[in-house]
Amino acid sequence: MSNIVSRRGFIRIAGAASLLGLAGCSQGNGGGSAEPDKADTSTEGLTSTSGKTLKVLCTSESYKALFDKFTSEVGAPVEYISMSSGEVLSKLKAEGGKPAADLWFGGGIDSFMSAADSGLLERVDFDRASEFAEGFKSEDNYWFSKGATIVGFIVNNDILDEIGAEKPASWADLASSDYKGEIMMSSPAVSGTNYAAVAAILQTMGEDKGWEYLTALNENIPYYTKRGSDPSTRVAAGEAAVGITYIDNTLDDILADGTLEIVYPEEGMPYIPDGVAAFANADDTEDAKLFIQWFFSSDENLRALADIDKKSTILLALPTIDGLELDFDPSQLMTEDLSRFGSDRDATLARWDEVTSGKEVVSSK
Amino acid sequence: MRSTIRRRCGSALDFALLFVLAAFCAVFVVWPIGSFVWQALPFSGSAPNMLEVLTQNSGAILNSVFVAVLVSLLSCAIALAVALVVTFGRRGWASLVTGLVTLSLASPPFVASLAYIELFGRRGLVTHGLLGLSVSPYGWQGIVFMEALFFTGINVILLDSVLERVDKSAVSAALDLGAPMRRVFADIILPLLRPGVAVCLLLTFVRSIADYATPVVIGGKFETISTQIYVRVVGYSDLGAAAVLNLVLFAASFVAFIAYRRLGSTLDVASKSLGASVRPADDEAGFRLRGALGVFAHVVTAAFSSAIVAVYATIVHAAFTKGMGWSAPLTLDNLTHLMEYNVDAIGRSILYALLSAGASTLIGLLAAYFVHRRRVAGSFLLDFLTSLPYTIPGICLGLGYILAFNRPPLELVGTSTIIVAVLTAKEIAISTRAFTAALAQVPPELDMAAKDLGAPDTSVLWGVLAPNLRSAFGVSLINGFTGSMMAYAAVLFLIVPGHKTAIFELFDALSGGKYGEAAMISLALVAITSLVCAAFGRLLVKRRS
Amino acid sequence: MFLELSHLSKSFGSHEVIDDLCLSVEKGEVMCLLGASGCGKTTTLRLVGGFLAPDGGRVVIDGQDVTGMSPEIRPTATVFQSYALFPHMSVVENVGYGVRFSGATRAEAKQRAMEMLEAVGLSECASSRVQDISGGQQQRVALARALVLGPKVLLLDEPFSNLDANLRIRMREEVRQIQRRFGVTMVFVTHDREEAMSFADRLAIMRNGKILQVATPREAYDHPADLYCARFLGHVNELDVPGGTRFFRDEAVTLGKEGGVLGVVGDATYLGGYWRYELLVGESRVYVRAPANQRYARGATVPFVIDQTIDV
Repeated sequence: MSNIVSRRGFIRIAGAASLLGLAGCSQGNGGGSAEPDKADTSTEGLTSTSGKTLKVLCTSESYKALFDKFTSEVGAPVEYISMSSGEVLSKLKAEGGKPAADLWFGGGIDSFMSAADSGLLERVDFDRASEFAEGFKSEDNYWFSKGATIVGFIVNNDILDEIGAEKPASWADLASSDYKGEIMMSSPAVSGTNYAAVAAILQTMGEDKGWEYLTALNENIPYYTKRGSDPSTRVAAGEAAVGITYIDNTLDDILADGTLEIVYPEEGMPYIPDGVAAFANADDTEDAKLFIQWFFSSDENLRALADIDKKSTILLALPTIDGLELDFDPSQLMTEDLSRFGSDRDATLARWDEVTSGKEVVSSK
Repeated sequence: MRSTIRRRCGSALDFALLFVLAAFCAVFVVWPIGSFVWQALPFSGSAPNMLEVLTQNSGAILNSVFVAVLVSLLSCAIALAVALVVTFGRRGWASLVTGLVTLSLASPPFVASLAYIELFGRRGLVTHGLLGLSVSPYGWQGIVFMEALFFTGINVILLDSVLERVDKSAVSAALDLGAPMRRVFADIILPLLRPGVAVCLLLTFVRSIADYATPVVIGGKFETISTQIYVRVVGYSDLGAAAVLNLVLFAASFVAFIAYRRLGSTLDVASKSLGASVRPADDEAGFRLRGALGVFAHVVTAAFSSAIVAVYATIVHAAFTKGMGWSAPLTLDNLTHLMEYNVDAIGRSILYALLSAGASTLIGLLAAYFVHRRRVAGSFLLDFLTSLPYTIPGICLGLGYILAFNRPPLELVGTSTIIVAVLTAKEIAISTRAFTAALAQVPPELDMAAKDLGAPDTSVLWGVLAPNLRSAFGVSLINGFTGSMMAYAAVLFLIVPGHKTAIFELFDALSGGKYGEAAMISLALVAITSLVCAAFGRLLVKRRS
Repeated sequence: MFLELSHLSKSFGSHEVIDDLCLSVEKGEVMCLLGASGCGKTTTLRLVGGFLAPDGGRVVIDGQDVTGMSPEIRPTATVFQSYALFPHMSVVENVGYGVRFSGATRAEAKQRAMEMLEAVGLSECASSRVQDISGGQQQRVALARALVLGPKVLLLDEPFSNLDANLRIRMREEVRQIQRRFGVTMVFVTHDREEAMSFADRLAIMRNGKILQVATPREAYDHPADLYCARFLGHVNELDVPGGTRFFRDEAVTLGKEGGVLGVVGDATYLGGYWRYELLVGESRVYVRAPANQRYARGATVPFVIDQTIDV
């Protein structure tokens, strides 16, 4: 049943995307062509004249190659630093509307939505903006998504053997008492990935059943970690049997030794689009806008990204890219109403706080 | 005539130096910290319900206090044992332990935590590999263990310097009067050490309560004030609640400060009277570590040393292997990666650390001189302000800096200046303590003599006092350098693209599960820190004829 | 008067250390502040040197009121009890240190320091480190460092207390010679009466922040202002005789001379060149001196005459 729902969900997304693509520039402000086959050449006229350096907050150091490509093709040098989206958001708010960086590259869109609502992001209009799938960019072009983070399980077979438990196959399995104290999950307040999990479960199961499930799951989780990468690294280190984690090919490194395995849960995988945006009122907004235009307008750039990220989820955002294929069955994704990710965030986290309270803070005996 | 002009310039310079000190405190301590605390106050707009935040977090507050008390007691006890071995033990053994103590200061605690998990975790080499246990390393025990291990180093250095000053003639006299060694320890050495131990307890308490990195890595479900502050800031962008929690730490640090001041003065008095006494020659009979006390001290020292060795062995192993675990194959990939990606950041870290070590040493010297030697008006306030940044969590300090310096008149966000400033502010407390202790050793007649000979105040400071404070310069520079190299939370929000430091890359690698790369960066940091400290350490070696 | 202290007072908290103190010192004179620990003598020296500010009163040097002047511009120089030599400087650097602040160039400072070292007989250890020279040499370095500035008044705080007994006597003579050569006015502080009497032109005996007596050593010894002063400078015998109590010094008697008092010999101590006898006179006990050739056995009854009494 849920599989059917998921598959339908994906079809809806893909359909909407292609529809929008055909509809052309109705959403974007630019008036140029949106034909996919022209995308590769549309970056040619872009040249930076600012004489400034583009400063990027990104989620990983590995984007260096992409930034170098921008510098050589468009001209502006790039400096970058990696930061989690929660850190970026707090930094932005503390900076009081004068951001020290120009471009935000990567991070769960819940943070991007929140930043856009606070007026911290800059609108960027360009031709291809119209080709994005629904939910993968803000309606008014304040943020765009460069793919999605997919959530699944990572399991340590060694530890499963030790506790005599089966490999969990579904979200429902995780609520079993077999896994008591053996599940690692990051706090959804800190990790966009785990926020996506919570939000998707609530949307899929409905509020009441969803919270019921999360309450049951909470019983099995010894504590919530504070960084999105903790569940996978700790399960890899043998500290727990199951981790609720992002899934992409960067996990290959730790999967190599054989005791670890990825599980794609039966009910489907939550996902959260990965955002890109220019900061409002920044020093070098011009180059930030150029970057976004340059980046999304060329399939070559997007393929370079897919190469770095070791995933092709950019296709979920821009289904019109040539030369990329999804390496998983999109029907495995959960159905999500992405538009509610931002608006529901505060209420969801407040409720989550309540449900899990007493879990985070445990006084010593 | 010429001399009059010189004197006028001298007093103007003296005033200027006092102004530099006061201005630094006002601009880089009061303003940013005030800006942050402002968020907690009812009329700031973002203010939360203070009582509600406090009751919600009462568990975390109790946890923090619980851990801080345990860590203080444990690390001081270990430090005392190690310091006894370093001071009175056999020479070769003592210098080996001294080396390990210095090494323990050269890596941030969260790296050590990584080693802790690999050694004592559920699949740890010791717990699982050797003992066949399957235990979770996460929890307060882990925090206490790691913090105790890490804070012991600085306590050993402090206690050792006090032990060095214990009047050997008092020890000789006690032995002469027929006291057995253990009684000499209990009746003579321990009472003289008491203020030093108390200072260690207080400093450790304050540092533990403000430590974020250790609990977040191995605290597990055990929440502390610092981790709650982090979650409030990063998860909820709730600066108000974070500021309220920060006020709790403020209160703790103020109490510690008052206690420190009272103890500090007794410490000064003790060392003054000791410094004045005549010491017997070195080859005379003195205190020897023997009996139960000796065995105990050596066992504790051996345990401490093995822990440090184990931590570094783990880091070295991780740096040269691929993937995780103890069976991973050897590789040089991490070194290649380091050379390719991290060299810039390491270079920048060194530059920042050198600048802030220099600046904090200068400010610390000025603070110690004006506050403790000259006792200028407002000394109490200046003293408190210089010790404040050390005692609040780095994340709060960093946010305060953003709030204060993101608009004119001082728009520093995004510059290197702000990073050097925050690192400097964080280390002046220790610099000031080092210089205060050293100044207490310099007889006040020296200042009088210099003034009497016509030297203006500034000449007294530079020409007469400073050259006699070599060891304090050494301690201050070493501490400032290592502290700045390791600072993460304080600069988290201040680092902008292009100004990345090595510790950032280390934390990134760690977060990404790239333990090999992380370990390699740590090794590089340890190597650099050791080299630089060895250079500064030359200042510590007194000139002897 | 060259140095004039008038109505100085100083309190630390509620404790009054100096109480309405007045003292005049002539040019070229060596004045000694003598008294027991805590009598305020060092505080007085600090007030003259400018290290402490008086609560009341004035310090005038050579007609100039220096009360408000800080030590660096006051025309005084101090030799500290610990010498306070700068441990990181050589001998010549120590001596030349203050010269630089009078506007001299580095070369001039060095030259004047060398001249001064010559004068105090230390030129051969000019480049030594101060820790490597003897206590007596350190003392001379401290003196040279102060004298090279040509102070109007030289202040010395317990100057010889760190030296052993023989060296102390030698240094006393040397410092006195140097003082005469430079004709500098000196105020020095000591609790040692022998040092005070052998070194000073005049003594100021202090007690509880007050000066009890200012006089030459001889005057003070023979005609003390009161019993405290008398006892501070030497032993005083107290004997009740018909007509009242007599106070007299040990040596102010002629032993064996009839017509005075009779005493029974108790302990006898030979002190090199003379005897010191304990005599029991009735209920009283007195100590007297006698030449080496006057030997009395224990228990002998000996007559003696008091030649000079102390009137207090």
